[in-house]
Amino acid sequence: MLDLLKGLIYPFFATAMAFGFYSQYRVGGITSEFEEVTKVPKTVRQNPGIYRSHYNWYSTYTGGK
Amino acid sequence: MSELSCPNCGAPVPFINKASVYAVCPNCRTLSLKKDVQLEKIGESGELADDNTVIRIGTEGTFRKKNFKVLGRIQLKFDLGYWNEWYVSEEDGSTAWLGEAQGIYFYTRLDTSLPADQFPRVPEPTSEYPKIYEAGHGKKDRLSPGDTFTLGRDWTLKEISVAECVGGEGELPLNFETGYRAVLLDIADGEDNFGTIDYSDEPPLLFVGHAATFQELQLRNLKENAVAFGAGLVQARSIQCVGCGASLNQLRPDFSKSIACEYCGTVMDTEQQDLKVIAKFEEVSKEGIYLPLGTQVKLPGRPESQVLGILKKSSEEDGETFRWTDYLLHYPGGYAWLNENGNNWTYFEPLLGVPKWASGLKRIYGKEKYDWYAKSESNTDLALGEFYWKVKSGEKAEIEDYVSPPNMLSSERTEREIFWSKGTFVPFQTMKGALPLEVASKLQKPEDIGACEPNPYKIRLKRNFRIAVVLTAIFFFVEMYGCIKAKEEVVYQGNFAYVQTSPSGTDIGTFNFHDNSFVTDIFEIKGEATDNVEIKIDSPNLDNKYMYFSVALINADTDIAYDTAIETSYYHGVDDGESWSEGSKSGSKDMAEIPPGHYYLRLETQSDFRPGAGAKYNVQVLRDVMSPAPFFLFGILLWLPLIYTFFKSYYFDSRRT
Repeated sequence: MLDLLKGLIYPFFATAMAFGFYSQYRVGGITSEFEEVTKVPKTVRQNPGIYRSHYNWYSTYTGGK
Repeated sequence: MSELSCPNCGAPVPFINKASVYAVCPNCRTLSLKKDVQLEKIGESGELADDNTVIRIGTEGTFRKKNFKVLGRIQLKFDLGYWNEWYVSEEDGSTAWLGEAQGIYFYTRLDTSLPADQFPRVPEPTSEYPKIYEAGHGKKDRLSPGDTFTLGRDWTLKEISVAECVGGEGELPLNFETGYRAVLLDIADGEDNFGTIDYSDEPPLLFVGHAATFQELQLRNLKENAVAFGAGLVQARSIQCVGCGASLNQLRPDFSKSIACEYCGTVMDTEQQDLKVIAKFEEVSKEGIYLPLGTQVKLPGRPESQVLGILKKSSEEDGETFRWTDYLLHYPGGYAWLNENGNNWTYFEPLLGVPKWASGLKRIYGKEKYDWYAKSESNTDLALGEFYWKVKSGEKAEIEDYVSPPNMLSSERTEREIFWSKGTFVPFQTMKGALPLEVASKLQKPEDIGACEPNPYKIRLKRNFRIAVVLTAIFFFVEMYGCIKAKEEVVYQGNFAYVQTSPSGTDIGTFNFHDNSFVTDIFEIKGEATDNVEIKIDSPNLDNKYMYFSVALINADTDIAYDTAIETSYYHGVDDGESWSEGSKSGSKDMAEIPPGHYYLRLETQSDFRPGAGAKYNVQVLRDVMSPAPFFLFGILLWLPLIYTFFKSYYFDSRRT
């Protein structure tokens, strides 16, 4: 029974990889990192500072080795 | 059919086949030669021995769609017992020989096509251990069992026998002389062909044909109340050990030729009523013997059998002694061996043919290829019970194994013969289930890996390899299709210059950060709602600095923003005389399923430039982009577990005993 289960690990893994590939291929998957925000004020065009992207933080890079 | 009179007693002597020129009178055993319509006495046949054969003159059969009828026979005696050469006539008048020895049959025909000088030479045919040499001009090579030589085609020498003619009966195409000793060579070619070279005549006689099982011959009109070789119909008999006086039970007197006392190790010849000691094993120890004599073995898919004999064997390698036990199993009509080595069990069946050589030190039997595994010299340390040959103490043989789990081929080569057998690994649980409870309970679970134990990792590796190949191919073709189909249309492009207005390295949104956000012109994104968008930022003059862009792609029609961030950072230098660089002057982000519409970008930047300094950068928005990332990412991931399985498989094989 244990051997049978062990034998099924790779087919499950391969299936997961196939889903991962499809997801990546179709909708960007893990490399498509963005967030959808609704009801953005129309005035952003006149005053860009009133809206701030959710990706607005970046820890200061110390640079180099 | 014609009938002539015996020149000795006048009894009628029938002749059925025209090729028959010799006959033995059924009444007085006179051997006569046919001359026109008369018989001339040329000798006398010895009394034929009762060898438990089921065949008789008049027996009919069918082999390979040819019907035949037995007309006569010559009986020979050799090491293992009796050997009958039955002379048969086929429906079309052609003749053949049906060899019968130890329950094995050979259907052969006389082949007179080859000149005498092509036959292997036997310079001393009267020797008890005759030497065989290859034929040919100046060739002096000695042939041993297992060696290959050419005689019309390539043959392998299987066995060298010295047989003594016991007598004959019926009509025959050949003369024979009772008591005459002849060298016989059994040969096989790995293509299901079998042959015998009989050196009783000059030039030698070559018989070529095939091995056959009792069932394949479809014999009819057999001897009444006869007992086939080892059929197990003869009652067991009690005998008293000549060595210690112990009472022994010979289970299959019709099959076995010798019995080794399980108490004192004395081996006796059981062919005669008066038991003769032929060998003695000094040390009798039953340690490590799991199946006692007489144990019933019921392996799935195999005939129900009984342990008749036990051989404890050993071999030396690099100063280390390896020990194993062979159990002789008998079942009605045949025998097999059960090998126990390190608590691993293998079931061996005798092979009639010789496996063919294949390139790379492999052997082929049937359609299966076997890899060379090991070679050793075995020594028989102890024999217990009964055997179909006359067991001797200290018998040595050269053993060579080839494996193709769960099967293996094993050859046992002595001076006189090479014996091939095919083994099949018996899993521990199957072995336990095949034995009576009291015997099964004493079996020990193996710790090592059996020589032909199937490698579960190799099986998995093969299967997983196939899965990985198929999926990689699918990924590749899907990716290729996606790349060909992708439009990669640039829907927006803008060049900008960034100047630092905050203290160096200030994070967006923190107290000291000065807002530098701006929006681009509106641009149109076309296509399907399922198409993606890629935003690329390239800052070619970036040097030992980073720029972090907070990006929002905003739909001017629906007021939906798609927020993301892109980083460009490039650092380089020299450390300890070694130059280094890291990061990239460009960056990008994919956004899946962006509906068509009118969009603009809102960009906000932070960096580690000093205030007043900065860099130029350009921004591109592309529609319907295909990246090779999915293929490389998942294609590679798919193969990683196979590396692990490969090493596990390698480790498993390295632990075989």
